Parts: sequence; C-alpha cells; structure tokens
Amino acid sequence: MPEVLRTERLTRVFGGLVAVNEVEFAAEEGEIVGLIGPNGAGKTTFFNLVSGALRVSGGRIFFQGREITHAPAYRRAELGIGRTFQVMKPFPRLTVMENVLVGAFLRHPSRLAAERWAAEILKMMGLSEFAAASARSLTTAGRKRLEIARALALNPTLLLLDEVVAGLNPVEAEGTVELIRRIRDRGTTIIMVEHIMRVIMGLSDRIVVLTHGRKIAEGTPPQVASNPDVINAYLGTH
Amino acid sequence: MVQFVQIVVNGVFTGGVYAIIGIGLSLIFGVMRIVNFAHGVFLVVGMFTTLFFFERLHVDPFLVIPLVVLVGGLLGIVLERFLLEPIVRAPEHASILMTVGIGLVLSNLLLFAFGDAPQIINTRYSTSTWHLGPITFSTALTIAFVLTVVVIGGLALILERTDLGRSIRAAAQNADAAELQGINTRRVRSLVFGIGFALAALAGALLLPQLFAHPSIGPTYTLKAFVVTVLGGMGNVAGAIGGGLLLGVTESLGAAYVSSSYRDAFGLAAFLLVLLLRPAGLFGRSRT
Amino acid sequence: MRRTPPSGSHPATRPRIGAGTSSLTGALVLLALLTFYPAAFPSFITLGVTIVLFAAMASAWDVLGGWTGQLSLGHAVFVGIGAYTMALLVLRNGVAPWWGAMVGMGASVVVAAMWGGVTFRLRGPYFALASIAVAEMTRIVANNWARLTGGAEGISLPTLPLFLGLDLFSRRVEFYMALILLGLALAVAWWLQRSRFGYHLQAIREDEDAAMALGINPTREKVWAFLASAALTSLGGSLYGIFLGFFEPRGMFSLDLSVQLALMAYIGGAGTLFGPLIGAGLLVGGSEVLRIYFPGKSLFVYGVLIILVVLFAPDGLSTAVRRARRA
Ligand SMILES: Nc1ncnc2c1ncn2[C@@H]1O[C@H](COP(=O)(O)OP(=O)(O)OP(=O)(O)O)[C@@H](O)[C@H]1O
Ligand SMILES: [Mg+2]
Repeated sequence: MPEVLRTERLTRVFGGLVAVNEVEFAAEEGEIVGLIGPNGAGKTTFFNLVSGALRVSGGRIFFQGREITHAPAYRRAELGIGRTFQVMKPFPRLTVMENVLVGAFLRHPSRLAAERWAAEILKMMGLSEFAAASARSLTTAGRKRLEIARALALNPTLLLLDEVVAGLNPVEAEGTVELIRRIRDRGTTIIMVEHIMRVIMGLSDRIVVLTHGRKIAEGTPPQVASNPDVINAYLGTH
Repeated sequence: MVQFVQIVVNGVFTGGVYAIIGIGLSLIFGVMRIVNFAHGVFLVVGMFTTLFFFERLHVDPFLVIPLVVLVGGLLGIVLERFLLEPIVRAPEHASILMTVGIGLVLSNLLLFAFGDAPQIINTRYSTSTWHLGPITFSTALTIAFVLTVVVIGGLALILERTDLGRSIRAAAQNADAAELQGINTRRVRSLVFGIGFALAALAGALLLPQLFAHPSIGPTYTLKAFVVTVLGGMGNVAGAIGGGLLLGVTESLGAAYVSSSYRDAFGLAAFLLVLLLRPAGLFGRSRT
Repeated sequence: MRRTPPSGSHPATRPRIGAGTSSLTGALVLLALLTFYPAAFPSFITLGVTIVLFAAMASAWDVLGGWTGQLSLGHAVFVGIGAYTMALLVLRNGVAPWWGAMVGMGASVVVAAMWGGVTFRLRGPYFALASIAVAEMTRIVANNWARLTGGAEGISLPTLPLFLGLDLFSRRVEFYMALILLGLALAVAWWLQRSRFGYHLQAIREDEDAAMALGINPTREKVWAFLASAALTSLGGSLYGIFLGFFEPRGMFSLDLSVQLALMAYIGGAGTLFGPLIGAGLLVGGSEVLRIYFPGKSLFVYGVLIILVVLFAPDGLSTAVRRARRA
C-alpha cells in the first residue's frame, strides 16, 4: 500500500509547552487511523500541523512522498488534505449549500459543475433538505456534518476528522460512523480523533496513542486496548 | 542644550496627559476587546464640561476636575449599559461601528450646544510660568502633570490592591473564566468603560487651559490615543504610560527640529511600523 | 443507511442560489428608473448626483469592506488620488479628464497593491487601525507637498474640454456619468454574489482559517478585492472632483469621507447588492434635510443611524427588510 502521510519527529512548542513532541506517524492509502489520547494530548495540534494551520517547530511532514512541511494551508488543501475543525467553523451567513460550494469550487471552477458536485455531497451527508438554510441555523449535529461535507467537497485524498462523533446522540452517531465507512470505501484515507472508544475501536484499522505530545503506543485496536502504557495514560497521570 | 532639555520637558509633560488618554483606551481594549473610536470625543466632552462649569459657575478649571471626572464616569457607564452591552457577543466590527456612531453623535451634539467657534479658558495660570534654573515650566502643565502622576498612581493602586482591580484584571485575562469564578463581568465592563471615559474627560480638562476646544477635534485625539496604545501594546495598561511619554517627547522634538507640519505623520508612521513589526507593542509581550 | 437529519433547523423559504436572476432584474429596473430622475426632479439634480455618486463609491468600498470583510477606514485615499490625478493632469499637462481618471485609477491600483500587500497580514481591528494611519499620512503629505498638490489652499478646475460633445460641468451630464459608474459597481457586486471569486471573498470574511482549509489563498484574494475596490473608488473620486470643481486635501483625503463610505454600506447592508445604494440614499438625503434646519456640515444622522442599525439590524437595513418580508 502506498504511503499517504508520514511525519518525522514532528514537534510543536507553545511557549514552554511541547504540545507535539517528535511524533513519527504514517498512514497508508485507504486506511482509517484512529488518533487517541487524553485531553490536551496534542491531537488537535497534530492535525493543525498536518493541515498547515500551525507552523511546525521541528520535524518534517510528507504527503504522498512530497515534503509539505512549510507549505501554506491552502496549498495542502489543493494537494488533497481535507480537514474538519473540532471547534466548528461554518461560514455562518452563507447557506449550507454555499458552505459546501466554496470547497467544491476547488476542483470544479465552473459554477454549474461545482453546484452539481456540492449537491451530491449534501445528499450523501443527508443535508439536502437544509441546502437553503443558513449555516448558523443548524444544530450541533448538523454543523458537524457540514464540517465533513465541506472537507469532502475538496475530494480529498486524506481526510482529518477531529471529534466529529462526540456530542451526537446514539442514532446520529451511528449515522456518522456509517458515513465515515462509506467515505473510506471510496478510497479516501482517514485519520480520526475521537474520545468515544466504542466508535474508534470499531472503525479504526490502526490506532495511534498520544499523551503529553508523545506517541506512546501504536497498533491494532485490540493491541492498543490491552497495552498497559495506554491504560496508565488514561487512568494514571490524568 | 538648555533648549533641548526644555523641549524634552515640555514633551514629557504633554506625554503624561497622552498617557492618561492611552490608559483608558488600553483598559477598555484589554477588558472589553473593543477598539473605542469615540475616545477622542470623550476628551472633547471633558473640555466642554470644564468650560460649562467654568463659565456658568465660575469655578476654577482645576477645581472643576472632580466634577468632570464624575460626569465622564457616569456618561461612560450609561453608554456602556445601553449601547455596548447589547452587542457584547456581536462580531468585532459591530463595536467599531457603534463607537464611531457614538463619537459622531456626541461631537455633533456638542456642535449644536456650543457652536462652531473654537473656545479656550483664560485663567491666571494659563500663561503663567515658573523656573528651575534656565528651564521654564508652564504652571498649567505642571499642575496637569502632578495630577497625571497622582491619577496614574491611584489607578495602579486600584488595579493591584482592590477587589475591583482584581476583577478587572481577571476579566481582561479571560472573561469566561472570570465569570465562572463568580465575577460579575457585566458590571466590570460598565465600570471599565466609565473609568475610560472619565480618564479621557480628565485629559480634556487638563489640556483645556493649553488648547482650544472645538467639537470636531475628537478624531485627532482618538488617533493620538491609538498611537499611544499601539506603541505600548494594545491592552497593556503600563505600556500606555511609556507610549504616552514617547509620543509626547517625539512630537515635541519633531516639531522643534524637523518640520512641524509633518509632526503628526511621524507619529502615524511609528504607529504603522509598530503595528506591523511588533504587534504586541514596544514594551512587554502579548498575552495571547 | 440511516438518515439522521439534524433536527431543529429551519430551512429558509428562499434559497440564495438562483436568486441571481431576480436581483439582476431588480438592478436593471432600478437603473432604468433612475435615468428619469433628472427630468422628474430637475431642481434636486445636485442631490441626485450626490446620492448616485456616493452609492457608487460605497458599493466600491463594499467590495473590500462588505464582501471580503476587511473594514477599511481609509478609502478616501482613492477618492483623493482619483480627484487629484485627474485635476492635476488637466491643469499642468492639459490631459483630458477622462484620460486623467484612467491614470488615477492606475495610480490607485498601485497604491492599493502596496498597501494591501503590507497590511493584509493584520486581522480584525488592526487592519482598520492601519488603514486610518495610511490615510492620515497621505492627507498630511498631500497637505504639505504644495508643489505637487497645490497644498492646503486646494485647487480649482479650469474649463474642461467637452466629453463626446457634453459639458462635464453640467449636473445632468454628471448625473448620468455617476449612474454609469453605479451600474458598473452594481454589476461587480452582482457578479460577486454568484461567482467563484465572490464566494472566496465571502468565505474569507466569514472565517479565514476555514477558508484556507478549503484551498483559498486569503492574501491573494484580498489583494484582488482591494484592487477592484480601489479602481472603482478612484473613478468615483475623479467624478467627485469634477462635481466639486474646487477641492482641498482636508476634504478629499479626510477620515470623515472614509467613515461615510463605510457607514453607508453598513447601514444599507454590507456585502449585499443594494445595501450601499440604500445607505447612500438615506444618509445623503437625511443629512440634506438636517442641513436645512441646522446649517453647517453635519454627520449627526450618520451617527444616529449607525447606532440604531448596529443595535436592531446588525446585517443592515436591506437584509432586515428582506427578513421581515419573509417572516
Ligand atoms: N494555540 C495554542 N496556544 C497555546 N497553547 C496551545 C494552543 N493550542 C493548543 N495548546 C495547548 O497544547 C496542548 C495540546 O492541545 P490540543 O488541543 O492539541 O489537545 P487535544 O489532544 O486536541 O485535546 P482535546 O482532546 O481536549 O481536544 C494543550 O495543553 C493546549 O492547552
Ligand atoms: Mg482536540
């Protein structure tokens, strides 16, 4: 399987705090990789580094073999990295359709083609009936879906999902889990951060564990679940 | 040499008053995240309040000062309560537009009330001076400077030592966390805006024996206040003191040794450079 | 697959996509109606020119301020460049005013490119503060560089050549020139409402980080928006210079003028097709009425209206009216 993403000794420092500490990470095409760790472990910071929202303090990032360590965020989106934001960032005064359209324009410069593509994504996300509603009128569940929809509009090779299931009721959560599977089945590589163990264990092919910015474990869901370091990290220090 | 010292002394004295204007603006920005575009107009309100008491009640302008501070404080609290509190959660351009609007309304009300002619207070000490060796001191500016020092010192005491001060600093650091600790941030905002208005009005009263009062000079002082706070770091109250003195001395030196017609441009250029190169100000680091 | 639509959301009754044609019709009808204004209200022709010209300049401001969300309080720079370039080329070099206006537009674009390139890294209120500083510095230079600008005493225009046989000092001619400019500004706004570039600008306005994550280069798009905005404003400035006939740096480069353009757009509705036009009508008209009762230039109406709008119609009057109609 060709490698989609690789980081080498990826590091980010905030003042005196090392939020991401020399992390070696790799994801292969078509994988779902779960990224877990206690609050403040550095998961979102890791996403921000990979997507280009934050500059690295050290280390390197490769996407499909190409170094992107210092590429600006918009360039990485062009290359095929899509992301959602844990603190959701809809375009509040645009409609749901327009939110997705903005992303759709990247691959479809003509308005007509972009609209058609956006409509397809909305349908897939179950958001069609809200197409004309303003994004700020959506509920939390709706906004989380909109986050995914907007990232999907880029037709990304790699999709970074930051807690898109947390906070949903069980029915909604199951819908989103199903969606994530379908996205993967279309060939998109997914890295997802999630606190709900049932979800992450069920979905991930492989899991990487961070605490205090360091990678402390990596493996299949059963391997990670039985790893004493991981259990300690969740129970002990925090 | 004597001339140089004289110019610096004049600059420091004016700079003290600029510091008062800047401190208010910085405090408001620190706590409320509002860039107050009406700040210079508050100063003009202070000037005309002083004029009003002086001409109607024939009170000495320096004795009027407590009254002016009180009027400014009350106006600030009322404005905050009715015009700024409702838009606390609105996007930031809303507060910019609101304060621009408040400035326009206040300055035009002054225009209706006091007319278009520039006014000045003439007192014994407006033109009187005292001497220290070869250096001349204007009496009015000296009194103003002493008051400035007293006010800045008092404010520092309030901020450091009192519960109110602690609440203000907590709200400036993180409003939501302060709210959780049981601090009434709504009240803090009202008070801070009141203090800001009162300080600007005080500066107006202090400058009045020196300068003409005219309803339309507000924006000039709003700009000076911006320069002072950006030099000192937006939201950095102590930095505003340094920023004020720096602006005062720069203006004074610039007017004496460089062309006086470009004087304001130098302040603005410095302002722009600091904004671009050292957004946290010349003194200290940004909190964010 | 189980569909779990997010509950509790209320779809708007009218989608914004596809609203383009109806607003285009509206704009065309409005422009057509306005062509009758000089014949219908010959004694209010000066007021008409002012409203239409300011509507055009406020729409031009709105490309950057409303659609892109970059609050500029320094647009008077472009009004001044437009007016002064045109006037100085006429006075010193005998260049026809329409060519002068083109040169002014070029100069404005160059200034905007430098200004934007340097200050677009500033976000939020800092960009607004920087724009004031740039504009004030320009005013001070224009005021003092008397050899170039004629200085604080100002300049007055000589007799102008006929433009296609028309007298440019005739208010009727000025009205139609302003109307053409307004048409141009509305066409740009209409295009922004539906084009890829327009959506890029709106995305940047709504959330710059999210926009970047969708492949948008904010600095580049902001600079383009600034160039378009500056070019249109500059044309308005050239026309404003002809309209006034005599002007000085204090007025042409003033903070008041910059603030007026911004407030017109906001009061009417920033980032909407008709907002700036509505704002210009209300504010110019309102000030005119007030001026009759209180002589002396007054921005009182601007102050009162912006306070009311921020409190009660934060997205501007045109949006509030649209919402009220829908409800
Ligand atoms: N912009 C920032 N400036 C300073 N510190 C930051 C910044 N962003 C994150 N941090 C700090 O870095 C550490 C890692 O934060 P991060 O958001 O990456 O954690 P996380 O694993 O996503 O946590 P959670 O599960 O709560 O979302 C935290 O201590 C956080 O306070
Ligand atoms: Mg996180």
